[in-house]
Amino acid sequence: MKTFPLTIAKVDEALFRGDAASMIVPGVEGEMTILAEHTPLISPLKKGAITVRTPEGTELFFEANGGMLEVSRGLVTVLL
Amino acid sequence: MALKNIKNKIVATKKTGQVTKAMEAVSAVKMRKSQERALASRSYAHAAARMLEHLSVTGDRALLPYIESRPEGRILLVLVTSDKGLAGSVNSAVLKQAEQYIGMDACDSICIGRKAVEFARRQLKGKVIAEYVGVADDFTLADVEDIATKISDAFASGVYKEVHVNYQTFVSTFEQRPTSQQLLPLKPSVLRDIVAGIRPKEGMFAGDESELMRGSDYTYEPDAETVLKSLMPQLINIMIFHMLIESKACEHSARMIAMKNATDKTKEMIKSLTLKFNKERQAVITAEVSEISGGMEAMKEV
Repeated sequence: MKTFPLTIAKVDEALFRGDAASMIVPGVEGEMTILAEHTPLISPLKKGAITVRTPEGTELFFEANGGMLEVSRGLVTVLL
Repeated sequence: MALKNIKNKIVATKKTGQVTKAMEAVSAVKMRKSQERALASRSYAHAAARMLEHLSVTGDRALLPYIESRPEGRILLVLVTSDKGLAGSVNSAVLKQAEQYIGMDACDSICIGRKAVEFARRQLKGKVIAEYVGVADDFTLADVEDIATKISDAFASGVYKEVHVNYQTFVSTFEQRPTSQQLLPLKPSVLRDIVAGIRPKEGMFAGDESELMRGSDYTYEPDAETVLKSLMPQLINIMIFHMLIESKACEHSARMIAMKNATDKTKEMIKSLTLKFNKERQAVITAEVSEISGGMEAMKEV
């Protein structure tokens, strides 16, 4: 499965930095799953849980209290 | 008499040394905290700056309040310094950069830190739109919102053609770099510099990825206007936050070093003063001894 570099950062700490296989985020318009080679996208996030699946198959959960998601070619960033 | 003077001087120098040493210790703690904070927030600021860069390239209509370039207008100068002095050249370096604005009629300022306020009031012709004194060391993103809004609003009002920011970038404990940048209107080239400037030193973002991403055509969810309207203030806010947090780290680092130098200097001074004191004392004793023996000789002859 293709992976993509993902950064999830809070102001005072980086929560996740590395490759991910998939990620589910609570977009304002509903939940979205981001896979590798997703089209460039920008969206604010609403309150909810972010689920990250690593290439090894483990799932990580993060809490989102608003924030933003940016998918640009080859790089995914979530600012909480 | 001279002996007593020297002794007093030694005591005074010792006291000064104790004070600077205490200040050094306090600064060292603050420095460590603020450096950690600055470095931890860099990846965040880096991501935000990169996002701004990508967005500014798209030139979307909703971005107009942030990217509109005007042929004429005033300049808004944002100065970031510390409230207190005794921090080496950290403030003077920023203010030195701001010297180019002295005498400019069309230049107003927003000052953060007492030193900046004093400078602007004394030297700059334009008015001080807002001043922020006593920003705490552990300020949050929400605390700088007011500053960011003031800046964005001032620019959006159309009076200003450019917003310049002057602050210190943290390089290491021993090195701070005074930085002068144009914040608004957003320019891709400037933002690229900012992105390059805040690459975290641990090499998390090693390599130049901006080439990779140039010209991304974003899909906005729900739509461009909503997204940009909520996103842009946040991103500007993060940039201001970044500038403040870097300045804080610089201030405490510089103060720590300055106080360390002062402490070292007092030690050196005490050493040379003690030497002088001993020499002086020796001279007094020698004089006394020769007086006594001279007197005895004289008595013998009688």
